[in-house]
Amino acid sequence: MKVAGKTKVLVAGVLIAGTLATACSPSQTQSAVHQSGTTIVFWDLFGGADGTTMNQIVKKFNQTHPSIHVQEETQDWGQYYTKLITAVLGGKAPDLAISHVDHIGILKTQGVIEPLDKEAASVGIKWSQFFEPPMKDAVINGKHYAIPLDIHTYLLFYNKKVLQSAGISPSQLNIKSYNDFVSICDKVKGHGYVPLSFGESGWGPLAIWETFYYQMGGTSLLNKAGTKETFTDATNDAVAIKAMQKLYDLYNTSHIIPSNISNPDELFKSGKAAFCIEGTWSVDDFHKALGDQLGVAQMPVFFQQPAAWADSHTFVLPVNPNRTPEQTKDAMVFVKWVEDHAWMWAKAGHIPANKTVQNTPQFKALPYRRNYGSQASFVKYFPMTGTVWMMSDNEILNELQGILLKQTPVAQGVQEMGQILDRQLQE
Amino acid sequence: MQVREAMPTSPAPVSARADSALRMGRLTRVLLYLVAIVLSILWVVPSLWILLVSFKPQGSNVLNVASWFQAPYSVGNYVYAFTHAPILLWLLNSFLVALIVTVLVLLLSVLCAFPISQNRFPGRGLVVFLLALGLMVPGEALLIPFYLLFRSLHMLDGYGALILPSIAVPFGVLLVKQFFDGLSREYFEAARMDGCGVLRMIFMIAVPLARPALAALAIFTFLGSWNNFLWPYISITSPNVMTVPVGIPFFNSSYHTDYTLPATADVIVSIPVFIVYVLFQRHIIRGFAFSGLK
Amino acid sequence: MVGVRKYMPSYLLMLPFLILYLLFTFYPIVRGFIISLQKFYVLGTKEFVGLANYNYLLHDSTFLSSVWHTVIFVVFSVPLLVIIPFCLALIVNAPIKGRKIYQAVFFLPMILGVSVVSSVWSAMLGNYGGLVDAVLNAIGIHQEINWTAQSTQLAWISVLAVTVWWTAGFNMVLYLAALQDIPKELYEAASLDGASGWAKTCFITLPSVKRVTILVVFLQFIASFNVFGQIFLLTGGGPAGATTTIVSYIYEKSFSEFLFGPGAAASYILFFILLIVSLIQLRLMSKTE
Repeated sequence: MKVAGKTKVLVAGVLIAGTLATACSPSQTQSAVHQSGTTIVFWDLFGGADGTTMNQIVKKFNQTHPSIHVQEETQDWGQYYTKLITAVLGGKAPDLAISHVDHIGILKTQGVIEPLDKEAASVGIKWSQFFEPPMKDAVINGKHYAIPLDIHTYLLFYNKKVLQSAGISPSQLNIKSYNDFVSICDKVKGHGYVPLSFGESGWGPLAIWETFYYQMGGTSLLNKAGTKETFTDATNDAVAIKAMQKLYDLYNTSHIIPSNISNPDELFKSGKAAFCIEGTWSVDDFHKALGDQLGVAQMPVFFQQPAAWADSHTFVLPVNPNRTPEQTKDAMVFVKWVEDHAWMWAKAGHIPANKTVQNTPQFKALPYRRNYGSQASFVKYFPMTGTVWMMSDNEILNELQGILLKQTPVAQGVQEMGQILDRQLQE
Repeated sequence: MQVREAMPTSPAPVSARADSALRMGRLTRVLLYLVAIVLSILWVVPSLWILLVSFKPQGSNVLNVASWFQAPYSVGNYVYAFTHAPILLWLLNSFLVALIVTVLVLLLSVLCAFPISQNRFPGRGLVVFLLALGLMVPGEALLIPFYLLFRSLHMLDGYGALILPSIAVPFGVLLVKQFFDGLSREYFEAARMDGCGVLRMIFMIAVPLARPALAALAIFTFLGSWNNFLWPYISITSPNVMTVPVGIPFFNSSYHTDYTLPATADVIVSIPVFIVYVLFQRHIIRGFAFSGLK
Repeated sequence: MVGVRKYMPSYLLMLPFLILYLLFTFYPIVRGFIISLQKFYVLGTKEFVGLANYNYLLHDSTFLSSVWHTVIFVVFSVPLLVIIPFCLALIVNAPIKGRKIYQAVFFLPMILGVSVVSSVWSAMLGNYGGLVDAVLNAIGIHQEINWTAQSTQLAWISVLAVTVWWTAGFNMVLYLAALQDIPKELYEAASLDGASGWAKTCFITLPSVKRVTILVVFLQFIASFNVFGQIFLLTGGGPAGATTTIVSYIYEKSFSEFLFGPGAAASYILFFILLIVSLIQLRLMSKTE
């Protein structure tokens, strides 16, 4: 450590200069490529396989459209809407953005997005080409605010090798009820594997509760006007509590889910778990890790009727006074191109919202897709409102986690979730 | 930052002290070594582990302790991280912002503190009161007004937003003022008699004398800026303007199911800082040793 | 007026800083107070509501628990971050081989920054792959503990441990500076009187670091009350909101729910708490002088 003063400054200088040189070079090459034509700043929240797939789509589009440069900026999933709203209100809005379809109500309330009927029509996007479920939420007061990209939903993934070693034939895997599932899992547990790899925090458990709730015949979580929750009403109350109890049991009674797995995907990928409930976005990622050991099934009917949590990514136009009409049009050209090539997006695992893509040879060639393509017919979304998005509502998620961590009794917790939701719908 | 030469009265560094003054029993000595080594291991292991993990191929199984010490290793993560995120740019932004903030804080603090310390001008009490008031307010409590202010200035998501709130902090002024207060006024009276201008007085007499305090302030400010998280996290959305504390979570959020890539990003941003730190370690300790902070 | 002209150079010297200060610190303080009395819609409209936002906070259990959590964190972190750094400083100040290396090692996390520290420790503390559990498994404790999320206690222990690991080096350097300033004659005189090493530590070292201890406590109080980054990145305020602190609450209210009124009011309550703590500290400081 006895370096002379000048040498130190020199070393530090070389380090900083080196950083400077390397740091600046990629952005320079980028800017050189798209000096002519328009630049579209496009925000999304895609990580993992989603992120890689969208990277490729954007790259391909930029290659085939020399006059348009789409600049993709991926923001942190957990803070995405915070970032989007602060950016739009702060005058730094992107030109085009991704939003979950059940979140556009809040974005409209906050003055963050604008209707895009005319813009979509100008590039020939027809609303009839999309599946029904995402389209329902894409319209507010008769105006379209979102162009659906996909339907993403929870699937049941399984590890064939693990099931076999527990004496269960994967080809005859047929889960007809909750109890069925629990007894299969018990067998797996006896062989030293983790039965079901699933997290205990975040929105995941809420989505399972919602799935159970609808499978048990619960009706809509909110009233028609979207002003009051209805799952603690006389008609639904028992169902909501029972659904929660069944979820609670998975963690605390049958111990099918070990408490608090910090990284459920990683655990399943390591081959130590038999099942994993995860989103369509993991199909590709899991396949890479497990290869032929991977099995993919649609969400089993655990109770009376089929239902599965789902959501949709959609394209929205953020309010951005700096966006020129030309940029708006080019953004729509990009959207139209992605919709037409939605089989590329399906590579990440999602069901394309554009029905016409289902018949393309490229889509048909993708693995596993026929195992769950029909799930689009029974998907259930969280309600879209102008004030609350349950999936990222900390108060509701904390209440739910409190139940699963045995801090709050199940029935009381469900009541309190209702109260929190009601209060927030009024705010 | 050659503080030592500036302080003729500085005590000798500890290594030169007579060991007899600090002589310890054999048991104490053994204990001391044991504690020092155990603690050092605790402090250094996380960084070493992350270094190992960063060389494991993407998606590899890190669940088994033994697997960290076995091949395969690869530099693939580094190639990927460099090509998929402007990590070095974040490092550069952090360096530049911290450097600019530090230089400006030093300059402005000195200029502002000198008259407050040496002159009894009308309104002095008010100025001191205003500054003391600001001393108590943490930046965390001003997020909303910052956001609205920088929005109306059209300066969100830029270097201005990263730099300005950090330099308008009264801590430095009050620290330097306190140090100036302790200097003999005769110095300056004599200089004034010789027709020495105020600026010359500040930079030729006051600043050299205040070097210890300024060194401490510089380190304090630099580290504060380097570790600044919340306000940059709110105000910066473009990857190219991000600093390391904002960029790392931004990068990690895309790879939250993976251990190896976040580890790689951690290593990339840490190595240059580590080298610079090792080079200047002596000065950092000494900066505090002779400051008025104690 | 003569006075003003005479002191013109003084005003000019202060001007650059004062302009920045008024614009970027003083004005935000005033503006924040006004917003805390308003119902403030991000889209631009606002109306005066008096103390309604403060009233809202006093009845918001999430806010009250966030204050409580912050107090818990302060109560545990301040002593830890005074005692441990002091001990570290004693170690690296002792005449042992390689103390420069130990010193570098203890200070290192401080320069890594909060995000790298949190990122490293998230990987360390997770189960099914984290280093801590892996080590436990290797020594025969077959438990998969998710340190940051499994229970309130473990989450707090994790946050405290990471905070100590991250910032102890900084306070250590402050202590080290003070230790190196103790005249060695004191120790020599004590040695001649036959004092043992421990006695010298108790009767010379401890009294000599009194002033720096007050400074460290003061700085640590402020830092601990403002705790945010490592919690946000490690536990996200969980499990079930058990590690939500005042600053996380302010962030959530202001930039997730965009309720600027309550957000600003919570900021002012934080400010008020810090003001009281600082005043008490200043009194203590002036007493010791």
